[in-house]
Amino acid sequence: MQDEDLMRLLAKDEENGLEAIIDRYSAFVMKIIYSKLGDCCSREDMEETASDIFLLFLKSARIRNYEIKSISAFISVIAKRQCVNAFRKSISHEQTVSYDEVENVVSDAEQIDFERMRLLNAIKQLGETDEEIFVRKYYLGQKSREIAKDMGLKTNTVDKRISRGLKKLKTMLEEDL
Amino acid sequence: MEEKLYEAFEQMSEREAEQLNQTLEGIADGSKASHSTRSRIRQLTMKKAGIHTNNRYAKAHSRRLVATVAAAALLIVGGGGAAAAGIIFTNRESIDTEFGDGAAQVLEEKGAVANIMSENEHFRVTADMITSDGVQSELFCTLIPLDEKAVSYITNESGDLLGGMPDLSVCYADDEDSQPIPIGGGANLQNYNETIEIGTPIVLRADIPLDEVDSSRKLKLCLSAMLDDEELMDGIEIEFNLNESLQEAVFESEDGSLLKLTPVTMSFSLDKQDVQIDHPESESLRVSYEKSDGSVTEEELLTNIISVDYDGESYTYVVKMESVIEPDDYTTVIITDISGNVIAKYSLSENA
Repeated sequence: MQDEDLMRLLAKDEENGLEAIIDRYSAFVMKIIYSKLGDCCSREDMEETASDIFLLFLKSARIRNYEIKSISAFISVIAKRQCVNAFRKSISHEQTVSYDEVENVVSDAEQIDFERMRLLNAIKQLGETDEEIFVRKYYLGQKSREIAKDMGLKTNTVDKRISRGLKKLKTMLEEDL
Repeated sequence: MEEKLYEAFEQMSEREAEQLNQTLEGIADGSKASHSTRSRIRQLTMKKAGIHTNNRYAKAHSRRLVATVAAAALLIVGGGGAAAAGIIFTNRESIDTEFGDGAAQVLEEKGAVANIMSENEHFRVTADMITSDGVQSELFCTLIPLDEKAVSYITNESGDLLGGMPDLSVCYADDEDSQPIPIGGGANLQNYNETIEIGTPIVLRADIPLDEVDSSRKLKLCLSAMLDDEELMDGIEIEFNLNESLQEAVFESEDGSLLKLTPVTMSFSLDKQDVQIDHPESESLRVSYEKSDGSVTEEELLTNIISVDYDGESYTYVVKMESVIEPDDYTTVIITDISGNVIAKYSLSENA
């Protein structure tokens, strides 16, 4: 099912729609959580964080009248923020995570920073493989070894591509100015 | 440049992230989570969202739990407990189907049966089977609502399960003021019946990690269920001994990691570097065994993973065996990845 269909299903039938979204995106969310919290949280805590993320997603979707273009994009933004909260909770033993985060997610969703967009466009020009490596490393927080395993590459290859990619990005951004 | 990238991605909005939509979708599509992980996340989310479920997760639950309850039901038939408890399975075939012919008998002989009951006017709780292998103890209990208050506690407005989950805690029976022992992964309730009413048996399952438990002391399971300021579980306590009811064989790898085999479970730890990150519960781990008679089993996919715990350094797996085994028959256990690379090789420990 495409994201459009999933959102339509969620709008029509929240239980089945949410189930389908969880089924499709659990692994993706856990990948982000593991990258951020794998060293400090138990598996139970990570799964708890995952459920918080899906719950925030549902609440945000309701506020936006179920109009979300890209579930992977939206949920990854929520996941990264929630991981920060969960990390803080794990070190300070705060009791609850505030669902006022919903307001933050929704209100910030439409913001565009032009510098950031320049950078994203430059990354896209690196090519499909390098773009994926950069997204995995700098957005999802994966380590080179994990990226290599996921993409069927050698760790050395990943590191080289990152090194070359960084140089290219620097050149592209300087040329732009 | 790297700092700039990290900072940029950290503050990205959803609208900006849409620029990476195709790549993110590709990563999402290529990622895998095991059925049990998805199921747990689903249950947690649905509960938090207050969304009713129709118990199809309970009905689709692993045969192994159903068969285990069946074993328990059968094994207490002699004492008249099964009829009184109204447990729905009444023959040995379920457990024998799950573990192989004669398995129910074997488990009974190995002392896996508990048959401890406690009740008040609202609930009857029976600890049907307790297994312990030194790493983790599993309690399989039956919870039966005896009056309408109890039914309304555990059901929601639609009459489905998940209306309320009793709070569980375990402490040492000889010291009620001792710190409660954590229940690993929480406990869960499962319903295998069409409706829930007075007398309907509900399966209650709880795992107790034993790394900080003194197994020589008697333990006490306490339950609490508050409804309209009334404690519905008042007086209900289950005392039990762990005493490692199942025999075990201990194996050790070169780096000192241990693997334990009992007649029904296998437990071992793997360093996080050795485990595929995508799915540490892994449908991609394989196992083969060498026996004392020299025979070697074929490599098989490691399924029936009961639990996976992660402590930041390593994963501890507890796996249900496909059939009841004699742990003493085994000399070596080899864990490999999907490509056949050996991740860990455990040989019978000289210290066992």
